[in-house]
Amino acid sequence: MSERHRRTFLLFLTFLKIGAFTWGGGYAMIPLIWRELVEKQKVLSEDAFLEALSIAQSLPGAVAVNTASLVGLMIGGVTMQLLFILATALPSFFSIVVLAFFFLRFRELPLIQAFFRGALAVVVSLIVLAVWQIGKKATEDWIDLAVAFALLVLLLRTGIHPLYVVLLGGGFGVLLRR
Amino acid sequence: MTYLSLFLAFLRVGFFSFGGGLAALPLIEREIVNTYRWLSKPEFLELLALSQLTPGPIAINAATFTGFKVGGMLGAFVATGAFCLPSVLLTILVVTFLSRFRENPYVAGFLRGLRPALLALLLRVALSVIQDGIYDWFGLLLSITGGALLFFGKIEEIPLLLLGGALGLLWYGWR
Repeated sequence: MSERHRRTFLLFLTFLKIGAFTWGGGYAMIPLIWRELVEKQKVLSEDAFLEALSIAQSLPGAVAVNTASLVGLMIGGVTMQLLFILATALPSFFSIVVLAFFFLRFRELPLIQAFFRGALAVVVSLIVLAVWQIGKKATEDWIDLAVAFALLVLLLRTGIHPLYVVLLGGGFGVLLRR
Repeated sequence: MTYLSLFLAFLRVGFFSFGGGLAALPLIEREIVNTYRWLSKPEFLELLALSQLTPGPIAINAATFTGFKVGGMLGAFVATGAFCLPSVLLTILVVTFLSRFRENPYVAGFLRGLRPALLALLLRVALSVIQDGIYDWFGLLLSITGGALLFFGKIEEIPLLLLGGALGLLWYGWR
């Protein structure tokens, strides 16, 4: 195995590890990617990582997948990009497949239902808290709040497809250009 | 035909989920509960709980779960791949045209305008889970207590979820 292949393989394992040990959504992966690639292995500069992160957040898709993809492109081109995305998605993929296999067979059991009722009540608080934290960062002034409120009313009242909310928000941003 | 629908549905989700996985939930719900009826509303909520219990981005979890339920391993692969495809293409595009992309005022305006849209989608998620996830006063109590513990950093997500499930087992299991 050449030196380059060995390095690629090690980075693949790194992303696999990050994918497997971050619970609670993709945002939890970001500090781990930072620690591994910037601080420990030093394959990426601090500035390059921050740039990748800000682009990753402005593109559609999972932030962790976008970050892995950009970092891969910056380090080693398209091959590395695809490998990193694969490594990020694989742990999630296999754990869900295993869980789904059992869950779809046993979900009707009263005890499983009782467990999920309790867990779901807690999921509500997890999600509301996350919405509060992300929402606080996303809005800067009363214009943001007013537009958000108008879009929310539109979404609830008319039942339009959520992607139109995305397009309307972006379109309004183009009009304002601030 | 199922595989093609899975592919197109999650490709749409991938292309329009600005602001991370949580903001993608209304899109995902729209496609898999309303449009294609691959999951019922209760199943969708259980998927949210399962997603929090497994590693990885929530949108990947949702794609894999739905694909697996509808079309087995191949379905899971197609749905997850379709969700990741826009990321692959758009990041290549951005890296190639990086300088022009950043300085264009229209692009910057569009991106800035996505923020209130993101907030609207997030609020919609919060309202929807509050409405559907809490069945009775016990659930409300559990949710408020759990939220407070989490907010003040007294407990982490996974232990809290398992604790909530265990309490649910005790409370709802006896009746």
